[in-house]
Amino acid sequence: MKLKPTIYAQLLIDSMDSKTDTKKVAAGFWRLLQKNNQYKDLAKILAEVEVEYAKKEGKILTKVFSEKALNNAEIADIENKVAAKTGQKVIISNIIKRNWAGIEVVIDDKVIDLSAKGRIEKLAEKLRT
Amino acid sequence: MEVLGIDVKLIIAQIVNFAILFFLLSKLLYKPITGLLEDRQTKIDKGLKDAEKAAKDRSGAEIEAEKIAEKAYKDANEILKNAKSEATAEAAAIIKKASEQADRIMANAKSEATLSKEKALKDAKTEISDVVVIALSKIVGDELTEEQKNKLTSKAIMEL
Repeated sequence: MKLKPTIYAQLLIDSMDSKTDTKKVAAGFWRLLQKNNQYKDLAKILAEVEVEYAKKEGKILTKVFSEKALNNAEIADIENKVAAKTGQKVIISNIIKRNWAGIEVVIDDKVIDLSAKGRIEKLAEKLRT
Repeated sequence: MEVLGIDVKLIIAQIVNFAILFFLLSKLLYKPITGLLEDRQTKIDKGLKDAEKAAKDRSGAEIEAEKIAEKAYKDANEILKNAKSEATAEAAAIIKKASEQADRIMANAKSEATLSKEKALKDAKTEISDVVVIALSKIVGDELTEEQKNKLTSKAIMEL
Protein backbone atom coordinates (compact mmCIF):
# COMPACT_ATOMS: atom_id res chain seq x y z
CA MET A 1 0.00 0.00 0.00
CA LYS A 2 1.49 3.30 -1.07
CA LEU A 3 1.64 6.07 1.55
CA LYS A 4 2.37 9.77 1.40
CA PRO A 5 5.88 10.95 2.43
CA THR A 6 4.35 12.90 5.36
CA ILE A 7 2.85 9.66 6.74
CA TYR A 8 6.21 7.88 6.48
CA ALA A 9 7.91 10.86 8.14
CA GLN A 10 5.45 10.83 11.02
CA LEU A 11 5.87 7.06 11.35
CA LEU A 12 9.66 7.34 11.45
CA ILE A 13 9.64 10.13 14.05
CA ASP A 14 7.22 8.16 16.24
CA SER A 15 9.45 5.08 15.94
CA MET A 16 12.52 7.11 16.91
CA ASP A 17 10.69 8.31 20.01
CA SER A 18 10.40 4.78 21.33
CA LYS A 19 13.35 3.32 23.13
CA THR A 20 14.13 0.82 20.35
CA ASP A 21 17.49 0.56 18.62
CA THR A 22 17.74 3.23 15.89
CA LYS A 23 19.64 0.88 13.56
CA LYS A 24 16.84 -1.67 13.81
CA VAL A 25 14.25 1.09 13.20
CA ALA A 26 16.17 2.27 10.14
CA ALA A 27 16.48 -1.26 8.76
CA GLY A 28 12.78 -1.97 9.34
CA PHE A 29 11.84 1.33 7.75
CA TRP A 30 13.95 0.56 4.67
CA ARG A 31 12.32 -2.87 4.35
CA LEU A 32 8.89 -1.20 4.53
CA LEU A 33 9.85 1.19 1.73
CA GLN A 34 11.09 -1.69 -0.41
CA LYS A 35 7.95 -3.69 0.28
CA ASN A 36 5.78 -0.75 -0.80
CA ASN A 37 8.14 -0.06 -3.68
CA GLN A 38 8.64 3.52 -2.44
CA TYR A 39 12.36 3.55 -1.69
CA LYS A 40 12.73 6.16 -4.42
CA ASP A 41 10.76 8.55 -2.18
CA LEU A 42 13.39 8.36 0.55
CA ALA A 43 14.77 11.87 -0.12
CA LYS A 44 11.28 13.39 0.07
CA ILE A 45 10.51 11.41 3.22
CA LEU A 46 13.71 12.54 4.94
CA ALA A 47 12.97 16.14 4.00
CA GLU A 48 9.52 15.73 5.59
CA VAL A 49 11.12 14.10 8.65
CA GLU A 50 13.27 17.20 9.10
CA VAL A 51 10.29 19.49 8.86
CA GLU A 52 8.08 17.40 11.15
CA TYR A 53 10.89 16.91 13.66
CA ALA A 54 11.54 20.63 13.82
CA LYS A 55 7.82 21.26 14.36
CA LYS A 56 7.70 18.66 17.10
CA GLU A 57 10.65 20.28 18.82
CA GLY A 58 9.01 23.70 18.50
CA LYS A 59 11.81 24.86 16.25
CA ILE A 60 11.96 26.27 12.75
CA LEU A 61 13.75 24.23 10.09
CA THR A 62 16.32 26.23 8.16
CA LYS A 63 17.94 24.73 5.08
CA VAL A 64 21.36 26.09 4.25
CA PHE A 65 22.70 25.24 0.77
CA SER A 66 26.46 25.55 0.25
CA GLU A 67 29.16 24.38 -2.15
CA LYS A 68 30.82 22.31 0.57
CA ALA A 69 29.83 21.25 4.07
CA LEU A 70 29.86 24.09 6.57
CA ASN A 71 31.82 23.71 9.79
CA ASN A 72 30.19 23.77 13.24
CA ALA A 73 31.17 27.37 13.89
CA GLU A 74 29.59 28.50 10.65
CA ILE A 75 26.41 26.50 11.35
CA ALA A 76 26.20 27.93 14.87
CA ASP A 77 26.68 31.42 13.50
CA ILE A 78 23.86 30.94 10.97
CA GLU A 79 21.65 29.36 13.64
CA ASN A 80 22.07 32.36 15.92
CA LYS A 81 21.38 34.84 13.16
CA VAL A 82 18.25 33.07 11.92
CA ALA A 83 17.00 32.72 15.52
CA ALA A 84 17.53 36.45 16.01
CA LYS A 85 15.65 37.21 12.79
CA THR A 86 12.68 34.90 13.42
CA GLY A 87 12.55 34.98 17.19
CA GLN A 88 12.29 31.18 17.17
CA LYS A 89 14.61 28.28 17.93
CA VAL A 90 16.25 26.92 14.80
CA ILE A 91 17.33 23.59 13.38
CA ILE A 92 19.89 23.90 10.60
CA SER A 93 20.01 21.41 7.74
CA ASN A 94 23.14 21.89 5.64
CA ILE A 95 22.63 20.68 2.07
CA ILE A 96 25.43 20.53 -0.51
CA LYS A 97 24.60 22.34 -3.72
CA ARG A 98 26.81 23.56 -6.58
CA ASN A 99 26.50 27.31 -6.07
CA TRP A 100 30.28 28.03 -6.44
CA ALA A 101 30.54 29.99 -3.18
CA GLY A 102 28.46 31.66 -0.49
CA ILE A 103 25.23 30.27 0.99
CA GLU A 104 21.53 30.05 0.19
CA VAL A 105 19.25 30.03 3.24
CA VAL A 106 15.65 28.78 3.09
CA ILE A 107 13.43 29.49 6.09
CA ASP A 108 9.97 28.00 5.43
CA ASP A 109 9.09 29.56 2.08
CA LYS A 110 11.47 32.51 2.40
CA VAL A 111 14.72 32.29 0.38
CA ILE A 112 17.82 34.37 1.17
CA ASP A 113 20.23 33.77 -1.67
CA LEU A 114 23.74 34.90 -0.79
CA SER A 115 25.51 32.46 -3.11
CA ALA A 116 27.83 33.57 -5.91
CA LYS A 117 25.50 31.87 -8.39
CA GLY A 118 22.48 33.65 -6.96
CA ARG A 119 24.24 37.02 -7.03
CA ILE A 120 25.17 36.54 -10.69
CA GLU A 121 21.59 35.57 -11.53
CA LYS A 122 20.31 38.68 -9.72
CA LEU A 123 22.76 40.80 -11.70
CA ALA A 124 21.59 39.18 -14.94
CA GLU A 125 17.97 39.88 -14.00
CA LYS A 126 18.81 43.55 -13.37
CA LEU A 127 20.53 43.75 -16.74
CA ARG A 128 17.49 42.28 -18.48
CA THR A 129 15.06 44.87 -17.04
CA MET B 1 -113.80 103.61 -108.96
CA GLU B 2 -114.13 103.05 -112.55
CA VAL B 3 -114.19 106.83 -112.85
CA LEU B 4 -110.79 106.95 -111.44
CA GLY B 5 -109.75 104.28 -113.88
CA ILE B 6 -109.25 101.69 -111.15
CA ASP B 7 -110.38 98.26 -112.03
CA VAL B 8 -111.53 96.81 -108.75
CA LYS B 9 -111.71 93.39 -110.10
CA LEU B 10 -108.21 93.63 -111.34
CA ILE B 11 -107.03 94.94 -108.02
CA ILE B 12 -108.79 92.15 -106.20
CA ALA B 13 -107.35 89.67 -108.62
CA GLN B 14 -103.93 91.17 -108.07
CA ILE B 15 -104.41 91.12 -104.31
CA VAL B 16 -105.46 87.49 -104.55
CA ASN B 17 -102.50 86.83 -106.79
CA PHE B 18 -100.23 88.61 -104.39
CA ALA B 19 -101.69 86.73 -101.47
CA ILE B 20 -101.23 83.47 -103.29
CA LEU B 21 -97.73 84.51 -104.30
CA PHE B 22 -96.95 85.66 -100.76
CA PHE B 23 -98.34 82.46 -99.36
CA LEU B 24 -96.37 80.38 -101.78
CA LEU B 25 -93.16 82.40 -101.37
CA SER B 26 -93.61 82.38 -97.68
CA LYS B 27 -94.13 78.64 -97.63
CA LEU B 28 -91.72 77.55 -100.28
CA LEU B 29 -88.94 80.13 -100.23
CA TYR B 30 -88.90 82.44 -97.24
CA LYS B 31 -89.15 79.86 -94.49
CA PRO B 32 -86.49 77.52 -95.94
CA ILE B 33 -84.15 80.43 -96.58
CA THR B 34 -84.81 81.84 -93.13
CA GLY B 35 -84.26 78.40 -91.63
CA LEU B 36 -81.13 78.03 -93.70
CA LEU B 37 -79.87 81.39 -92.56
CA GLU B 38 -80.71 80.63 -88.96
CA ASP B 39 -78.88 77.34 -89.22
CA ARG B 40 -75.96 79.08 -90.78
CA GLN B 41 -76.03 81.76 -88.07
CA THR B 42 -76.20 79.07 -85.40
CA LYS B 43 -73.30 77.26 -86.95
CA ILE B 44 -71.29 80.46 -87.20
CA ASP B 45 -72.10 81.32 -83.57
CA LYS B 46 -71.14 77.82 -82.54
CA GLY B 47 -67.95 78.06 -84.56
CA LEU B 48 -67.13 81.37 -82.96
CA LYS B 49 -67.90 80.03 -79.51
CA ASP B 50 -65.82 76.94 -80.18
CA ALA B 51 -62.99 79.04 -81.48
CA GLU B 52 -63.24 81.30 -78.44
CA LYS B 53 -63.34 78.25 -76.19
CA ALA B 54 -60.41 76.73 -78.01
CA ALA B 55 -58.47 79.97 -77.66
CA LYS B 56 -59.34 80.06 -74.00
CA ASP B 57 -58.38 76.43 -73.60
CA ARG B 58 -55.14 77.00 -75.47
CA SER B 59 -54.38 79.96 -73.28
CA GLY B 60 -55.15 77.85 -70.18
CA ALA B 61 -53.00 75.05 -71.53
CA GLU B 62 -50.17 77.46 -72.18
CA ILE B 63 -50.43 78.80 -68.63
CA GLU B 64 -50.61 75.24 -67.30
CA ALA B 65 -47.64 74.30 -69.46
CA GLU B 66 -45.75 77.29 -68.12
CA LYS B 67 -46.66 76.30 -64.58
CA ILE B 68 -45.56 72.73 -65.24
CA ALA B 69 -42.35 73.91 -66.83
CA GLU B 70 -41.69 76.26 -63.92
CA LYS B 71 -42.41 73.48 -61.41
CA ALA B 72 -40.18 71.11 -63.36
CA TYR B 73 -37.43 73.71 -63.35
CA LYS B 74 -37.86 74.22 -59.62
CA ASP B 75 -37.89 70.45 -59.01
CA ALA B 76 -34.82 70.00 -61.17
CA ASN B 77 -33.09 72.79 -59.30
CA GLU B 78 -34.07 71.23 -55.99
CA ILE B 79 -32.84 67.80 -57.11
CA LEU B 80 -29.61 69.32 -58.35
CA LYS B 81 -29.18 71.22 -55.11
CA ASN B 82 -29.88 68.10 -53.05
CA ALA B 83 -27.59 66.01 -55.21
CA LYS B 84 -24.85 68.61 -54.82
CA SER B 85 -25.39 68.75 -51.08
CA GLU B 86 -25.37 64.94 -50.83
CA ALA B 87 -22.28 64.74 -52.99
CA THR B 88 -20.55 67.32 -50.80
CA ALA B 89 -21.54 65.44 -47.64
CA GLU B 90 -20.42 62.15 -49.16
CA ALA B 91 -17.14 63.65 -50.25
CA ALA B 92 -16.62 65.04 -46.75
CA ALA B 93 -17.41 61.61 -45.26
CA ILE B 94 -14.98 59.91 -47.65
CA ILE B 95 -12.26 62.44 -46.82
CA LYS B 96 -12.95 62.00 -43.09
CA LYS B 97 -12.84 58.21 -43.40
CA ALA B 98 -9.65 58.35 -45.42
CA SER B 99 -8.11 60.69 -42.88
CA GLU B 100 -9.11 58.40 -40.00
CA GLN B 101 -7.70 55.42 -41.85
CA ALA B 102 -4.47 57.28 -42.46
CA ASP B 103 -4.29 58.19 -38.76
CA ARG B 104 -4.91 54.56 -37.82
CA ILE B 105 -2.20 53.33 -40.18
CA MET B 106 0.21 55.91 -38.79
CA ALA B 107 -0.66 54.95 -35.20
CA ASN B 108 -0.23 51.26 -36.00
CA ALA B 109 3.06 51.94 -37.73
CA LYS B 110 4.24 53.99 -34.75
CA SER B 111 3.09 51.31 -32.34
CA GLU B 112 4.79 48.60 -34.37
CA ALA B 113 7.94 50.66 -34.56
CA THR B 114 7.87 51.21 -30.79
CA LEU B 115 7.25 47.53 -30.14
CA SER B 116 9.99 46.58 -32.55
CA LYS B 117 12.38 49.00 -30.85
CA GLU B 118 11.41 47.73 -27.41
CA LYS B 119 11.84 44.14 -28.54
CA ALA B 120 15.24 44.90 -30.04
CA LEU B 121 16.28 46.62 -26.81
CA LYS B 122 14.97 43.74 -24.72
CA ASP B 123 16.75 41.22 -26.94
CA ALA B 124 19.96 43.21 -26.66
CA LYS B 125 19.63 43.38 -22.87
CA THR B 126 18.95 39.66 -22.66
CA GLU B 127 21.91 38.93 -24.91
CA ILE B 128 24.20 41.18 -22.88
CA SER B 129 23.01 39.70 -19.60
CA ASP B 130 23.52 36.17 -20.97
CA VAL B 131 27.06 37.07 -22.00
CA VAL B 132 27.73 38.61 -18.57
CA VAL B 133 26.31 35.55 -16.81
CA ILE B 134 28.35 33.17 -18.93
CA ALA B 135 31.53 35.21 -18.38
CA LEU B 136 30.98 35.62 -14.64
CA SER B 137 29.93 31.99 -14.24
CA LYS B 138 33.07 30.90 -15.99
CA ILE B 139 35.22 33.12 -13.78
CA VAL B 140 33.45 32.33 -10.49
CA GLY B 141 32.79 28.65 -11.21
CA ASP B 142 36.14 27.67 -12.58
CA GLU B 143 38.66 30.29 -11.62
CA LEU B 144 37.94 30.87 -7.91
CA THR B 145 40.41 29.30 -5.52
CA GLU B 146 39.26 27.42 -2.42
CA GLU B 147 40.42 30.32 -0.29
CA GLN B 148 38.37 32.78 -2.32
CA LYS B 149 35.34 30.51 -2.09
CA ASN B 150 35.76 30.25 1.70
CA LYS B 151 36.02 34.01 1.93
CA LEU B 152 32.85 34.46 -0.09
CA THR B 153 31.03 31.96 2.12
CA SER B 154 32.22 33.73 5.29
CA LYS B 155 31.16 37.04 3.82
CA ALA B 156 27.73 35.62 2.98
CA ILE B 157 27.28 34.35 6.55
CA MET B 158 28.24 37.79 7.83
CA GLU B 159 25.70 39.44 5.53
CA LEU B 160 22.87 37.15 6.73
